[in-house]
Amino acid sequence: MSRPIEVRELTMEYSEVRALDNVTLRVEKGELVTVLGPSGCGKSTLLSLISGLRKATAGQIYLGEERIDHLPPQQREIGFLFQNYALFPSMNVYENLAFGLRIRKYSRIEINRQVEELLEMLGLTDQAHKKPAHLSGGQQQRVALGRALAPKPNVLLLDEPLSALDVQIRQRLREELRNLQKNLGITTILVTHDQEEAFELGDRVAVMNKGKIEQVDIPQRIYDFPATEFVACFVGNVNVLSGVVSSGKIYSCSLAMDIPDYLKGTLNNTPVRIYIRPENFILEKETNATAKGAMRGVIRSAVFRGALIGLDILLDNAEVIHAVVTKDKTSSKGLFPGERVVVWAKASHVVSTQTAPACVKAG
Amino acid sequence: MSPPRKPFVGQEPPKLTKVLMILPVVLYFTMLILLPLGGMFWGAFERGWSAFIQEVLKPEALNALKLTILITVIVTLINSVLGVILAIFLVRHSFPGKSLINGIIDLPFAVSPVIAGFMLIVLYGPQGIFGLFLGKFDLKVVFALPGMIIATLFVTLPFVVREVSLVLQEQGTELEDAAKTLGAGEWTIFWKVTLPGISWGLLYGITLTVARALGEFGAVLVVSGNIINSTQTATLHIYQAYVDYNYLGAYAISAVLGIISIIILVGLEMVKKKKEGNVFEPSH
Repeated sequence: MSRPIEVRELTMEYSEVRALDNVTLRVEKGELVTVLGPSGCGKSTLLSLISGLRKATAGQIYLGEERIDHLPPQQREIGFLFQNYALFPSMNVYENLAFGLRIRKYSRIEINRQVEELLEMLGLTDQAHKKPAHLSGGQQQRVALGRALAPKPNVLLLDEPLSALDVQIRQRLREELRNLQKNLGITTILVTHDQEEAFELGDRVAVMNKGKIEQVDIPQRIYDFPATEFVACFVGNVNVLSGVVSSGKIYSCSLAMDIPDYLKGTLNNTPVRIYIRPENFILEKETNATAKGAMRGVIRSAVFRGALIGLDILLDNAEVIHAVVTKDKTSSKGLFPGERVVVWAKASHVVSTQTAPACVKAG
Repeated sequence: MSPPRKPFVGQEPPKLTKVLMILPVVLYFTMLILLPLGGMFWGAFERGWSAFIQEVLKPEALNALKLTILITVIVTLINSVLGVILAIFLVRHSFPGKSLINGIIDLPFAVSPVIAGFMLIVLYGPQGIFGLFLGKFDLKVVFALPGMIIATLFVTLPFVVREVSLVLQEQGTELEDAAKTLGAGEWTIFWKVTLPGISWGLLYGITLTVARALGEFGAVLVVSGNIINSTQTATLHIYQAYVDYNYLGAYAISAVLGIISIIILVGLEMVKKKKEGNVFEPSH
């Protein structure tokens, strides 16, 4: 039933604009990959190409070993949950769920059995004879999900499935969706602009920007080892510092860092931008001892966030960085507003020599 | 006489202002619609039921009514089917010359029906290009039923197309896309998804088409030749009766057409009420 899905070098052009640029992605059988990106990055286009609702300009789509990009959507057996659900307004819940089964010419008894099963699974048994307009948003979402799952598709595509719902029920439905997907073991691609949703639901996350996939990896690695400037900026908080390359090291003022492998051999005095997550700074209270390879500054403010404390530090070169430390450390090390500190950086960060920054977000 | 002044509550305007605002509307409506309608029915039944029945049952009157209904049924069927197809093509597909066709569809609204009639005569008349050709096979279009149907088709073309286009556009393609991913073929999609979605627009379009076809005069007058018992429609019969000083006849047939129109409009309102009570209340 469930099969892997793969796109190779998929490109989509709308009159001059490249909505999708050479995208390659493989989703394993039973895996859930979330596609994360800002609106207009091409993630919805990716889904419409996989489903067959649009034709790609170039590239191939494989369902298991079978090439399917020449097939119309009707022959792909790929379920699609639309952002606004697209429930048929003139049909009740039962008829919506039975739609795909009736097309496959199942017997009346078989359809009834399967629809009852779906209603039961989705907790919609009491709503079976209601029209979509009489359902709550969460119920509509479930009907749409059930309708897509009813014909037992090879792959399930979810286009921002939770974005039309209230924040309160979104969290609950997120867990439901996750459990359902795991229980059914269905290969799933979920598109979202919500980072939390992408990280919580995805076995792996694909970060997209301007029609390209910038990185595909498990959530933890996306956060800790962003492959590009864009990923570093778009996912989580980040400080952007400017620096230069000098004799095998990178310097931002007096802050020294090892140069990453991909920039080895860069000429001295090449300007670079360095991305550092707030929790990757090491802070010490300033003493008279020399602090080699560190920056100096003063703690301007501290924001209490439960177990963590957010610190704004005004560096001596007038730049401001944002650091996050545990509550214990602030008290044991005496890191309070007004204190002078020395700052080091841990190793995990992105360095870029591109002239245009990927974002202007500062920590 | 003055009652104790009531305290002024809320935003309710004083009675006098209310009356002054409503009165012109009532007057206007009365002058324009109620009085003429009443006058027509009064004229029709002035000499009693039997005189009315007698006028309606005159062979030429009965023939005229039958012809009008025949034309209306044929025209409504053709323009409903073709109107839906045209609307789907114009809204869902893009092809060269689309905007041109889009503009031409409204032409019947802009062109006087009399001119439309003459255009048909030029083409299909005894000396016309098609007329000469069809004449060889003894086929008559002008001064016969086919010409009258074509003329009525022409003047009623935009109604279904325009009404259906509007709702199609509003409906968008998402429902149809959803049906596709569920495996539905084009034919199933049309019957199960598209058609239920456009049923309102279609119903309105059909109502307007029927009303217009029943009442068409100018285009039909030109192409029919107005031959009694043959190509004389109800409206032409009314005009003929009026010109012949047979006012009772004119009023009687007018009343019949009027009643048919009223029944259609009331029927539409009833369907609308029923439907509104059922489905279309947005909730979240």
